[in-house]
Amino acid sequence: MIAAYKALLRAHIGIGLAYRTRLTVWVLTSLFPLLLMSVWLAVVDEVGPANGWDRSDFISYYAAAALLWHTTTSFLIWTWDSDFRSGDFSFKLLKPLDPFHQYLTQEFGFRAIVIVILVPLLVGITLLVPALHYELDLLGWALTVFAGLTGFLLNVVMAMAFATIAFWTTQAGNIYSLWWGMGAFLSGWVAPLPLMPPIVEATGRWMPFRSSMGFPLELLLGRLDGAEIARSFAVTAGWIGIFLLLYRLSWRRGIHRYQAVGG
Amino acid sequence: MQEPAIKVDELTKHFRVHQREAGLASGVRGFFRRKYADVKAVDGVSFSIQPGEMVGFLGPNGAGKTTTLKCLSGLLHPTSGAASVLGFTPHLRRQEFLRSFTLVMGQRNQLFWDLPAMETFLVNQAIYRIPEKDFRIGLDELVALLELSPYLDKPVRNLSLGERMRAELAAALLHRPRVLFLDEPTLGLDVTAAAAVRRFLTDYNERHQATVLLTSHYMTDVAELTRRVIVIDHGRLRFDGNLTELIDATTPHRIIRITMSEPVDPARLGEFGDVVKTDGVTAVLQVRRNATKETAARMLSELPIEDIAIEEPEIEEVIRRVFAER
Amino acid sequence: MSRYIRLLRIFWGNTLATELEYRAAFWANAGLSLFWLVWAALGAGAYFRFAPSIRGWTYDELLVVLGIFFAINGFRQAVIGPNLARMTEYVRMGTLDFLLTKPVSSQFMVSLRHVGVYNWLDPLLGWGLVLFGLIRRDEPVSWTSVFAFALLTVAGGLVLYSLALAIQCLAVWTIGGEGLDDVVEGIVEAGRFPVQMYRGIFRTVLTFFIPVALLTTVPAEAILGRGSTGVLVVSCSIAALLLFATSRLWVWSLRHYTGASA
Repeated sequence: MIAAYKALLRAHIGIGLAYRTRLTVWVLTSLFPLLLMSVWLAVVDEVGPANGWDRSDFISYYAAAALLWHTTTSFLIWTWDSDFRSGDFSFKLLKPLDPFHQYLTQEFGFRAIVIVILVPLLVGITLLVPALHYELDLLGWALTVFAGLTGFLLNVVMAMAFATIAFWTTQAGNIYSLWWGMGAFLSGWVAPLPLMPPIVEATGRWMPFRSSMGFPLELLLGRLDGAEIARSFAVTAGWIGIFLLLYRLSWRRGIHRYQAVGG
Repeated sequence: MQEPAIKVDELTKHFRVHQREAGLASGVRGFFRRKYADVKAVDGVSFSIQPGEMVGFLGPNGAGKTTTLKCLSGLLHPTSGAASVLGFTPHLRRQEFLRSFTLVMGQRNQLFWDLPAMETFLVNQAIYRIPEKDFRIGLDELVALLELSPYLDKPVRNLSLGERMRAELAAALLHRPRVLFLDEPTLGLDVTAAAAVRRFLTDYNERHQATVLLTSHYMTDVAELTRRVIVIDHGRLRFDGNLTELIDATTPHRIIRITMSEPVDPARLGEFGDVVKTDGVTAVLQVRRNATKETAARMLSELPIEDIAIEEPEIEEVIRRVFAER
Repeated sequence: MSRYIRLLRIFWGNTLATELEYRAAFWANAGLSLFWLVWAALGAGAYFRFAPSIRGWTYDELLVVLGIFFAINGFRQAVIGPNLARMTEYVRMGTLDFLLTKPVSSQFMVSLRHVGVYNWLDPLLGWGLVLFGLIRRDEPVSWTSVFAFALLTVAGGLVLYSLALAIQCLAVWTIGGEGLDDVVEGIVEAGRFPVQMYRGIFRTVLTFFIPVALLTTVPAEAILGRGSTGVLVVSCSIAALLLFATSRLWVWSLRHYTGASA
């Protein structure tokens, strides 16, 4: 099992590296959250700190959001959909290794490259831009990284559960985007949750989206106390469990319907 | 008699498909009101194959060959009936089962498109848990037989179709499967590449006593690789037996090919049988099967024959007749 | 010309018929469009919880920009995205050669051959939002501004088309030009807000180097009555110039195309 993981990871990192243009583009698209940041800075310019968030808070928040976006977003559902249409899914089924692991390693492989490229870049920027401030102790950093990792895992498992819808509709991507789009609101992506209307903020704290975005970010800015940290981790763990269960159930019912299209 | 390697009993697979005619208008209509039809891709097929046998699986497009192979590979759950491969029920997809067979589809491939083929081999080694020593031995053997060594380090996308197919075969056989399902393994290959694949398959079968079930549109594949053929059409079994029996049963004639020392009038040739074609000096004739010997003898004595050959009809022709019969 | 219109009818008709096969996906997408629109409108509201106007733009005026963004983004997803994505595929699989042997303009084949149907609602919703923003703002809109707006919207579409074509050229050179459609997406995304809301270097780049301002900000200013004849003339000239330049660039880059695989 471990050998299979190692080999698959190696291969998928190789594939990722074969697409140098794609990688460059990815790094470029990390500018998008900086556009959102830019608007917040304009707000701060007009009326001063919003709810106690000043310039440096926003810069720190969105710089890290760029990294999190690239490291925790799962593209699994699109790979799955295209595998379904092209028939490559059959090859994954023929292997004596559950497709779950084959997809998981694929996700990890791509993520690994992004991290290797982005982290040094971000560290460099952090040192150069004085507005960035992450005043954390070692435990804080460790917790943030761990939160990012569990958030990523949740995203993958969530995507996997949604992907099994393809057994019925041959396409799951759109349904997932709807769900994910709802999440953009509740995750802390559009705006930090504390700046959202109270009802949105409260809902966001119980939904699975904040786990990979708002939660690690607020942790990073040192805005969460012990109880809130524990509660957030519990929410993440709970959702991972729920989606794993849904995935298993749905897989077992769906696999009977698989039509092995495409050759 | 041994336990068969593959046993198929009244296997049936129905698909529910949405029916649609061409054109945008009917597309829009179908969007609101859907017509479905049950397609009987495989409809009560039974056969069994002994270990080590190589069997040709024939039928026109859409006959149900690929669907049967997919049922046998555990990709599809049969609607009814049963299949067993090496004693396993395929669609339960047990690990031991998945490790003991392979499915090769000529028009698709499992290789990582952007990486050298070697990477796929290494991944398969890990996934199939092939011990390092067996892996090396098996790989060396496959690389030698398939003459792969110049291509191992090139990205798959840069290989030609034939090279890619050979690499695909190596990837599919690394774990030394005991059962091979081959769906059009020579599709699109040129003559030399196809011959290389056939040579390899015969060799593999002899070395490892593997059971092979093969579909192909190229009758050379079938004639060279297999003695027994199973013919299906519209999801039903039409014939199961020796290739020669099939030929005897369906084509009551043979072909005589002659070369003569001087031109002979086609009308004169017509006295011996149906002239398929002639240019005066060479000719191809069709004669009744049971009169072949006698006709050939008469030709030898009455015509200025330089060379004579008696051939079975093209197998494509045979298959055409099988399906024209209904 | 009429031949190309006929070709478009065939190509696009086929795609449409194919996509209609996926019923659930179709409705999901229509729902998705509406959902993203509401999402964007409410999301923008988050900023205005703290300030009545940002850099001279009120919430209602921002809605107008957002509406235009939706319309142009729908155009991107329907026409530009699918073709760019295929281009990557052509170059990767080496099938661009087939395309070039067809007896029709290669620029037509790589930039208009395919169409996505899922975002058909986006332009309609977008213009709906523009209307909504204008009504909420409750200030008179003159016919000349409507006319300028229409003209500038078309110009914006052409600018985007030209940018995409330039990127197609890039794909011819860089093998495995994966993700080039993401570049266009990124550019259009920047049009979600008026360029005045961006700062420093961003604003300079988005105004002058990548003319994002032409996509949304300038048409919005026109219908809000803040445009001028000068801006109108300059914008339309830029669009025409870009269109001309990029189609020359396409011809030029094909001359340097060496064949992808092998």
